[in-house]
Amino acid sequence: MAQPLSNLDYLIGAVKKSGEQAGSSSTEGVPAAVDRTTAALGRVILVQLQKAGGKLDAYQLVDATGIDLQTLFYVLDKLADQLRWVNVDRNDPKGNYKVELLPEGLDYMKKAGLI
Amino acid sequence: MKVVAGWGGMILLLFGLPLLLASATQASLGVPYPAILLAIFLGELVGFSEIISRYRDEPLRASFNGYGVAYFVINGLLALIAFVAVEKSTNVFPAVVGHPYSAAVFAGFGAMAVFRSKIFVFRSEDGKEFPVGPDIVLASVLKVVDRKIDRQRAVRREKLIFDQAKAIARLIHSTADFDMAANFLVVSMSSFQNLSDLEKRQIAAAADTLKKDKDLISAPNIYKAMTLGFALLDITGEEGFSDIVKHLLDYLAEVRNQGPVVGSGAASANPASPAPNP
Repeated sequence: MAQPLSNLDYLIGAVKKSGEQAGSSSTEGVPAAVDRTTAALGRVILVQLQKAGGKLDAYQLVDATGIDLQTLFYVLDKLADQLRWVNVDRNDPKGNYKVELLPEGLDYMKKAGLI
Repeated sequence: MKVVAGWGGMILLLFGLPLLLASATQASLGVPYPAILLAIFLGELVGFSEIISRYRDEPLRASFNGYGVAYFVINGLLALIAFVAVEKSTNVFPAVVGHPYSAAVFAGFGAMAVFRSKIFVFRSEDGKEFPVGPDIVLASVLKVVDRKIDRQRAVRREKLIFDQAKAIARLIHSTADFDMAANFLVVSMSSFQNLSDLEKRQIAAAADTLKKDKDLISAPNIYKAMTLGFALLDITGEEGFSDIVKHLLDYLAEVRNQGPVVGSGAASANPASPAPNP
């Protein structure tokens, strides 16, 4: 529905928006920082996977990213289960899991300007 | 979009282009050269204030890059257009006729009021708002610039935090070690004079969550250190963050050299006295 010319909503909206923006960085809290950490480490992993043609095993990812194995598995769980950016084949009994970049991950990389 | 390369390009755009435009405009308007420059620079100043209000942690770094400078220049050009309009429309703005400097101030600041205005707001069925008016143009430009700056800074910030978190993780080997490091960072906040109590409490709450949250307590130390790092960086800025982490690394190394305290849990038993003042 179109609003009339005298509508002052945009002024209220602008004030509200600027208030939200001013406080955004300090009110995000831990959940946002957790998301940013996952995204930051996730991006490093996605870039290396994409460079390698979409598939790498876990040990190769450790070498390529500089992320230790424990952290890598922790982040891969989030990337696979929550974000569906990668698929992790956990069949290797020694823990050298096969990690595959999924179209959703590739899509995210395009949106984030990584490729 | 590769806008400008280096400081030379930025200075040229910020100062060279206005000088050129002022020279070109002066001939047709017949007003003093500095008045035209004033209008353009005030317009650029408005753009600058808009960018710094969005990136409070590193306002100058966010502003003085190719994309930020491009936004200032767009604002400067709009101010110049407004100035020309004011000077040419003597019937519409009679109060500033014959007062080029007043007209410059009016145009420099007023241009944004015009180009930021919305004639009406169209609200769709699902509650989304679509502003219609000159604002749509500038808002679109700002959105692109904002995204580019944000992306550029995200890469830099992530690398900074990742590198620092790796260095911290090398010195902490248990949950107790992480708790001690987190306590140190919280106490370090007291050295920031301009931080509000609310911001200090938020950092303390973030550290507390990382120490106690059942989902995060088992997270790897580097992951927790990065999470705390992101929460800190927004408040301290890059330089402050690097300084605090340097103090933390010195402190952790010192404690490790002292013997079996690290990792024993004893270090975190007294969170109120984690470190010498950084």
